[in-house]
Amino acid sequence: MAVYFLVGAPTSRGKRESRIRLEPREPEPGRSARGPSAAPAPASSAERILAAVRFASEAFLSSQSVNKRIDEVLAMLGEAAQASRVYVFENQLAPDGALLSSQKYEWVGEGIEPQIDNPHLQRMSFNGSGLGEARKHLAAGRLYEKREPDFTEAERRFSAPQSVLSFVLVPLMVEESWWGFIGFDDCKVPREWSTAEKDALKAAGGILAAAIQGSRARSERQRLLDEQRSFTQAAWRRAAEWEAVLSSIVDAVWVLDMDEVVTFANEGASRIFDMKRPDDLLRPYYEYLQLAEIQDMAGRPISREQFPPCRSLEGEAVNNQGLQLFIHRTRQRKFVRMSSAPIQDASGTIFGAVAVATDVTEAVEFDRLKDQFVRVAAHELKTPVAIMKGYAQLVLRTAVDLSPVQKDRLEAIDRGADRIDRIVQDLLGVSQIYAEGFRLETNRIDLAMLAVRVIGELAREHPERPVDLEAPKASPLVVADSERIAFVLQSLIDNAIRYSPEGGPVEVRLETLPKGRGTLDRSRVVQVSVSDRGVGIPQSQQRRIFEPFFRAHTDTPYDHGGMGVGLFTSREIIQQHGGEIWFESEVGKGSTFFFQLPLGDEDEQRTSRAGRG
Amino acid sequence: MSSAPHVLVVDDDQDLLALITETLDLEGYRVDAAVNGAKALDLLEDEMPDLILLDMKMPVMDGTEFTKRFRARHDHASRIVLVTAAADAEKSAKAIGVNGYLEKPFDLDALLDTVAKEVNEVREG
Repeated sequence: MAVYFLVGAPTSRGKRESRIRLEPREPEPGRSARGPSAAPAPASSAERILAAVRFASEAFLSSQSVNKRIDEVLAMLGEAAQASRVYVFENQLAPDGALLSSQKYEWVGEGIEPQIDNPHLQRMSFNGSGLGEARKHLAAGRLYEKREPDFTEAERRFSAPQSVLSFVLVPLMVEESWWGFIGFDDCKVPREWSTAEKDALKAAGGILAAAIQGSRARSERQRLLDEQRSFTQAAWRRAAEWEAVLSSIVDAVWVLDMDEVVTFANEGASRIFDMKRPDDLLRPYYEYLQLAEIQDMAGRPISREQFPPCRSLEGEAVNNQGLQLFIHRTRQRKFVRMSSAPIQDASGTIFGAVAVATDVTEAVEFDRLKDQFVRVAAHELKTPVAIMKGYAQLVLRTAVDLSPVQKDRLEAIDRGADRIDRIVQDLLGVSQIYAEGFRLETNRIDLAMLAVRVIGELAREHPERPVDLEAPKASPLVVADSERIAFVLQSLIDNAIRYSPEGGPVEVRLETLPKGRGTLDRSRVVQVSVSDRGVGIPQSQQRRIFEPFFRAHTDTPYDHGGMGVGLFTSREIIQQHGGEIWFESEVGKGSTFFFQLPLGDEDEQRTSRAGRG
Repeated sequence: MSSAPHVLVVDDDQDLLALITETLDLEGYRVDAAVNGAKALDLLEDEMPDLILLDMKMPVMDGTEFTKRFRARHDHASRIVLVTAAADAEKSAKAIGVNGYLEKPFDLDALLDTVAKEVNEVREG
């Protein structure tokens, strides 16, 4: 059986002249199928249609889109099938959900009026246009044909204006759903299509549908590629922006993944660790321990569980934790404040942590210099004060026949020296809070013994004011810095004496409680209270009582000088011990100051066996 | 009958040195004075005092160094009390290994009490 090839360029729509010829293939091998040949042999209509279908498949295969080759293909099919008109309709849904159909492409034979611009063939309803019957078959994937005189009235009304005497419609199924149809009209005779012809037309429909599906997939793929490219570009641009921002800010930034490996570090981070490039810092957390000793502000080593980014990998946000870093390579000590936060995906799952650190070394060093200055100055004041005080007292002791006025003057010198000493004590107290890198020198101390010592010292200063101490026989040992706790006791008891000028007992009470106040509500505590029956603190002043340099009794008869830092310093010291400090006070009735220090389980068992002094 | 207790005062501050020696002298003590640790060691070649009142910070030889050398040479022949402006007087006294401490500034009563107590330790102990 002969196989036909198409040669030459087919007409496009609107061109009335066709230059298509069909040629039987020559049996000799090597001969060009497109070469000149003998006169065309007649072929059956179905065979000609199948040849056009093969052309169509090759045309669509070699082209990226249906659009580019559809006109050629329709012309080829139209010529081969000797149809008056070949067209393609595409289904679409109206906003109300109704199914509509629009003509997309058309080829017309010589002398046939084109319908491509017919407005009735755009967004037409199947039922309304008379194609309700056709729709049923097409939607089910079946070919539908009609010819006069078998047209229904509706079909006739639809066909007559286009002079159609017969038509055959082949459904186009794309991705297993009904996409539209290709149709073949005859305007000359009510043509009857043979089964072979109809099979060939179905094959044409199949090729076209496949081409539409391929084209659609290609354009979908292209769209995805374009989208991906634009996302990638946007992400790249955003990444570049962030990288520029992160490398230009002074603070150090790290990003860790769930394995505690640093996946990003900026210039600030490499500055802190004295590395040349941020990339040198892309390493697991544990390797950082070889770069530097990581300690808290008091110089205690920090465990993995305390390190902010590791805490954030567990979900915690850490704000401004003070850290000391001792960089091994350069032997430099640095102070940083580090914050960190978990990084979560859209579902809230943590997949990393970010840490930001500010280098506060300069500020800390400046603070230390200032504290050192204060300490040295205060220290140097002590000897001259001792000389003033001592000679005033010596003259008072030894001079005979001093007049009362002379005696008063010498006593004023002695008191003046005492006031200087009080200021010196205050200065030392404040500077001690942060002395030596905020380090508390803690030991197990017996608070009752400490209170006895402090009360003894104050008794020398105020021999007329006894202080009562009430403490359990076995007072628990607390881990604390004895000098600083002594300062607190001294400040509180001294205040109690000073602000109860009319006398009345000053009572110091020491007790252990099963749970503490505020942050100590889950811990056993030792509580110390210092009560007086003095002037009390006016309500309006109570809020500010712990502020530095605030003196509630300035310019009142109870003003005893000092810098107003005793309570401020005491609160700082108690807080550094993880304790709580507060007071209760009523004007005219007196004040009670309390502080609590946490007791570990161990402390409970090892109570003091030492005697009271 | 025992002679008057003997106290050596070591301080580089001339005014403070004068204050302490005068005060003790008026109370009937036999007092010697030295302006640094080295001078004090020279004085000690002849006679051991009952008590040495020792300043911490001094040029030439400070209190720590003095105590070390004194103990090496004379063991506990004299008691030593630190007279210091240091904030942690108690701690320094323990660290250096002296018998007691007196913080500056002090009341004369406190000075005399301390001296009397230390001298009694020597005389009775």
